[in-house]
Amino acid sequence: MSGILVVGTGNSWRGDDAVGLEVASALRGRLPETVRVLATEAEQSSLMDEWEGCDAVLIVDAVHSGAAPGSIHRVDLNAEVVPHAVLQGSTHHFSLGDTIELARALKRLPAKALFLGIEGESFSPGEPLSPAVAAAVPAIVEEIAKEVEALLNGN
Amino acid sequence: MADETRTIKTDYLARVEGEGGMLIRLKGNEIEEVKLNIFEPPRFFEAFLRGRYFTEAPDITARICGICPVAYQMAACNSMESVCGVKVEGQLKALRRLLYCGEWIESHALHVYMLHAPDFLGYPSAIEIAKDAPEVVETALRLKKIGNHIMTVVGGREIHPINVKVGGFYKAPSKAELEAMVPDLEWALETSLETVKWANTLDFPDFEMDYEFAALDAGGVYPIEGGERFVSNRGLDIPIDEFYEHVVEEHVKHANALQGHMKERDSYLTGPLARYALWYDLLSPEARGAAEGIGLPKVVKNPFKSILVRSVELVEACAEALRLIREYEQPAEASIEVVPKAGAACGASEAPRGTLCHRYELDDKGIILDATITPPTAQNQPQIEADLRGFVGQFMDLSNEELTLRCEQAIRNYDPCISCATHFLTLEIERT
Repeated sequence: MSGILVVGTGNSWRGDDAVGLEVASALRGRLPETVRVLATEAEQSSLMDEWEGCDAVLIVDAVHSGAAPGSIHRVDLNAEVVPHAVLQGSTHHFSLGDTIELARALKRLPAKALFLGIEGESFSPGEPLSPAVAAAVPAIVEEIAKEVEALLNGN
Repeated sequence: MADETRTIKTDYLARVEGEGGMLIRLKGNEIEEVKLNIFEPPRFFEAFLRGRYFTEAPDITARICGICPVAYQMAACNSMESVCGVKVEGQLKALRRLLYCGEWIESHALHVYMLHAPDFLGYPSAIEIAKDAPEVVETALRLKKIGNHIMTVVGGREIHPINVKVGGFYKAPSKAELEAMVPDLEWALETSLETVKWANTLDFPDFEMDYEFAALDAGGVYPIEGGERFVSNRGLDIPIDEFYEHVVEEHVKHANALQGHMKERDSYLTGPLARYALWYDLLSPEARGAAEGIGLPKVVKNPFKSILVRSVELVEACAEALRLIREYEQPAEASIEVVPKAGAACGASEAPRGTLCHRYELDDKGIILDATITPPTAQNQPQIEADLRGFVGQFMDLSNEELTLRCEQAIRNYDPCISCATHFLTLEIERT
């Protein structure tokens, strides 16, 4: 498979919301050169342009579900609809959940689309990653490396 | 019946701590309470800026908002340049305006089609519009992409542009790089003209408010990337440096936030309706023609019609971007030298959603001693509450459900910015 994009997204100034960006940074140099790694704080609907033409996209972001901090949630976006609560947008933003569902409606989701959510603990302005979330970064980096390897091997 | 208590309540970001909500309590036909908490001020950033070097402010403040980073950069640059006694002019100023047009195109297209239109069309969100009318959403996405592309070419990166600095840019694009965007921008201009006509087919509640409109005075051009004065339709006309002598920020307990008020005046409105009302005559012939084409008056007092004015400004941003590219000549130097000076000054710019003011105090080494940032939504929040009071008073007969939807729409009229909002997903896991 060619055209693989790994996106880490979040807000670098809001505590554990930065974990997707941290994962993307940690992945640099860890994946084959043909795999594009993007760390972005962009308005989320623009992600559709980023994965346009890709065969596979892996999206990494922080989540807040009440699970243990640092635990990893895995959603196969082509098999499952993102839970409704994920679609909680705001008056202003177009959220990642909105973007995924919009891409689905417009038939603009890549053939393989995987969401990896890392449970956050604190989203306070200016805080670093909480210890449990920082500790989860190597594990998710490994998981993504395995996913990418499987994709490249055609699995 | 007369004593019946009705409560209209929406939690915008129900699962995000303290970020956004609306409460309206009615007793019979009396409005007992209107509480709005949609805005989180960038206080953390103001504290973080203290002790930093003056050249860092544009990049740091650009992180406050994912939708309007250019607005923050430009207000920071304008303020720093004013403290240091320099002026960025000529093609460098034109490049800043072009970069800002990209942000207006991106932000206005997003709001008009994807955030505001669903309210008018009776859809819960743009996702449902995409299922029934994908071409509408594809149009919005293409417009947005063109706006983003301007930000990439001029700003270096579409979100949080990294090419902007106090004094100008790190690198000025070539004429050819800008001209390559012309075909897309010509499409965007045509499409934005159609957008105005399309928006005019929407239904608007019969509702008007008597606003004090406030916007920057950019000295003979439609205000975008800056302005030396802050003016209103009720006689306010001050140098931007006196912003904080006239606008006070009050701590509002229910919102746990600071709201902007003008001293000894009532609430005021900043944003597209204000810019349009104050500076209609400075719009491009294309934008004025679009407004005339749908019979839009020179002053629009129905806040729901902000979607029309935002569409006219979308035309303005496309036409202005094309003009700037046509007249562009790559400057020999991408920036002017800025030597730090001790002092304090305000600088402002017109974010898509309204006037954004920054004030910095520097020491003689260029270290930031104090920073104050007043975003448009902080200024508009009292006016949004006033609109809600006015609207609910006039449309009290609507069902709770209909009234709630209309009140949400009334808030979205302002394209409010929830600054430094988190991006994280709220995930609900059900186990059965």
